[in-house]
Amino acid sequence: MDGLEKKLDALTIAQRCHPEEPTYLLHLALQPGGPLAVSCSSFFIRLHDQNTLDLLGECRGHGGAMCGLTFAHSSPVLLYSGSADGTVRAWDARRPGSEAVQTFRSDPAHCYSSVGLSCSDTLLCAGTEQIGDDDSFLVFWDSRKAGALLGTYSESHSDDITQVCFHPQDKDRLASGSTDGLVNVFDLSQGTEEEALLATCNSGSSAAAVCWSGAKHSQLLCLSHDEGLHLWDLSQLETDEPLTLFSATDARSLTPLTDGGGVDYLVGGQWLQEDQKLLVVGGVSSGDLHLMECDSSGLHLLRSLEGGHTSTVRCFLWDAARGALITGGEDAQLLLWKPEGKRLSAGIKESMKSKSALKLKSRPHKKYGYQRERKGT
Amino acid sequence: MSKVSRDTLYEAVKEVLQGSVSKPRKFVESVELQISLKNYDPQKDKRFSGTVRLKTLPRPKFSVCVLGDQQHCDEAKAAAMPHMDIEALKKLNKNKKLVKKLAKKYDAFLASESLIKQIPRILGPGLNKAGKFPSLLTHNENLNTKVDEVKSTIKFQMKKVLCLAARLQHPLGSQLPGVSAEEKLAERPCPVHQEHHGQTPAPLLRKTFLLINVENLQIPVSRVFLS
Repeated sequence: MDGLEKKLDALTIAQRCHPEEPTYLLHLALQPGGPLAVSCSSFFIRLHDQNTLDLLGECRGHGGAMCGLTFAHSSPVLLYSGSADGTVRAWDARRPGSEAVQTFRSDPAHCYSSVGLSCSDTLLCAGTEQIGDDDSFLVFWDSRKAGALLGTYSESHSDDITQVCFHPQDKDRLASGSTDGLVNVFDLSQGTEEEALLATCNSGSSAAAVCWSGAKHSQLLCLSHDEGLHLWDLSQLETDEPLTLFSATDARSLTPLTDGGGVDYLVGGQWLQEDQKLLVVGGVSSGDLHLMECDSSGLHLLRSLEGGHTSTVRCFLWDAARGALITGGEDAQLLLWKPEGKRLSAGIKESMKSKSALKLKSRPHKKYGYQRERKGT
Repeated sequence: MSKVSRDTLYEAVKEVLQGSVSKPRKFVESVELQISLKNYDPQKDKRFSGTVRLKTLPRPKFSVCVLGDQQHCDEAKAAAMPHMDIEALKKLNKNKKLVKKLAKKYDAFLASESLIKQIPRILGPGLNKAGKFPSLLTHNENLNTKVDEVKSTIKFQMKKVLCLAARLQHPLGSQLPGVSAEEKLAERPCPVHQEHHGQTPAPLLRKTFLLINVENLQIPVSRVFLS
């Protein structure tokens, strides 16, 4: 087993968060040292302690479906969220419950279906839903000046723009994905949209998730709404080699699982820089999750996670700093999977709040307090 | 979760055909398959959007242009298919109007690997805007097969309306005899509804009822309920 597999093999449920009311957990965002942000289908954002998953507060204000969530890269304080209500809002994560510190808008007819922030934190971009017959826009703002719209791109997509994915290192590089099936790559330092459009990759379906990948971040992973999977290598744009490293119109027909089967749906992908691997997460209807690796030869199973969710998983996040995985789904559960020493029993309905190490240490007079209070396994 | 039984489907199709025969129209009629999903919230459930390949060609008049390298252009010429090579594309000089005109002229495009990479640079975003960016044509596949694939693939998307309509254009004329027409039409809806079953994630299926509406656009005829 290599390094990543070992890390994943040690994962077990460390914390389980069950909010009171039913809601779908749609997006996750995390910065080292900061709270965990979760967007809900009920239009608000919840902030949780990243270790205990305790609820710290809620950011309310959006009036439409959430389409994306991201922290500023240089700070765990500033949180950006986009919504179909036609606003992108910036929140102070230290003061949940207070109003957004900034609100970004464009044309009143715009409903946003995706949002992204450049690695330099200065450029904010939202993708709109289709307006009229074939117009959809990429809208750009300077994140430091809420009032000023920098411009829009209007020619490169013909349907809802579902993904705005800035390059992790190049502040001028952007990938956008749409239900028109196309994934466009732009060099934003160029003057016009026509000059900025570097490449267009066609998934042949409807793009759901787009993610930069590869050692030099020159690859693009695209997952489609009907569970297609495509891996493109942009470094081949000028060569004679094909762009496509791997392509499957239906990833459910791939059989990486131990029982010889495939997943029922894909959640998303994330490039793991430390391990130099592309993690793709898929699920089955029972709620089990499968962590897979994707490369030019397809999907390979790394670890299966059982006993976690009971319904479709909609978001995940691998936190390299702690070697932890966070998952959220339609069952309203937020789960933290960590490489704990002892495996906690998977009581799905009951509340699984294991005490934090700090709390245990702060009971100096209880000689056997820790042992007595530990829930048996 | 059950699928539509073959008999039910044939019954429905029979009704549609009878309706067409009993009230003859002076134009070529199309059959539209409408699928409504209940208990599906477009605001929070995963998007229901993608493409599906039908077993037969619903749009026989669909035109495909090959943007090919030397080999693909030769193959297209031999198959009497419209085609353009890289020089012909460069001649358009990225002129917006000309690219728009090209996009309007054909229903879809196929492009060789070497060309498809250069489309943004040679033509600009015109084909993107028209929703007609080409699909990749490799040297490992037969040109005619690929064209048939493009012709028989339809897009579906469930947005704010809880109804998915897939047009299965089928010339319903008086020339078609009873039984074989039923079978022909039944064959088309079959792959579509089976595909749709597969597309929806299973948890959604558990709480979803499927209402299949096999509808002749002029005469709404038969409804098939599925639970």
